[in-house]
Amino acid sequence: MSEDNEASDAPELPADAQARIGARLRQMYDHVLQEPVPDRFMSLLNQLQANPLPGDGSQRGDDNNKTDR
Amino acid sequence: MTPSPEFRDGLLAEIPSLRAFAMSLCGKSDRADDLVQEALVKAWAAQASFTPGTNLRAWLFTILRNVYFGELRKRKREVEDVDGVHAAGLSVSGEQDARVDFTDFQKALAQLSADQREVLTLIGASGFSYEEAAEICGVAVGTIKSRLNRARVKLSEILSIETLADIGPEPSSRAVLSRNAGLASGA
Repeated sequence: MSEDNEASDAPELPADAQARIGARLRQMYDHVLQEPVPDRFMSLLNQLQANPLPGDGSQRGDDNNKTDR
Repeated sequence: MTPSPEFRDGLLAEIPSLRAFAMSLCGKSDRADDLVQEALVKAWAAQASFTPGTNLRAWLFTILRNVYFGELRKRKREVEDVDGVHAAGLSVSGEQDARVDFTDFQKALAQLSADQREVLTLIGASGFSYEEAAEICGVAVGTIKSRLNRARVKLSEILSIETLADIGPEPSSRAVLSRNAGLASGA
């Protein structure tokens, strides 16, 4: 919580090495990003939309807040 | 509250990013899609806790990484075994150059800790700020920065070792040897 310095325990990589890593990382990431959304997710969303969850409507709030932490 | 079509459209639009994030975390496309599916279901159930107009992607990434790390905790030993064996067993031959770069990099990523893969991806590929990444991971900004640096250093060590290993045979045994020999900046 307290250590707010950039690199407490290792020297920083040279900028060109950082850039190379970044480029390869993005190459991989963008590759997936450009794939079409698989059908299973369309079906899932349609299914979610069609079937309200058990307990939906009456209780919300307490239960939901837990999920994003 | 009835589910809003806007929320559904929002989820739909974020699926490619969620898949890319999940893939970077776990390295296997079928498992990545399972993670995305679970995150979507949870997000749907939790939509009342999302504030419209705030960063939906960050909110969804938080849910997905919590699913992933929750699973990881549950079967920690198993997962590390599988990843380790997977990484060591992949041999890379020089003929498939275009693909080598890609799998090589994934293999290197698999040798990092999940924390390190996460921070590298959030900052280096998804384009989140340090502050946003800290929020998503539930840690301090300073932790993100030092974690990121350590991840970069380790990844570059692994990658330079593998560049050397490409030249000759027996990449797996050589990787161990050259790591101990402290080869740092061969690339």
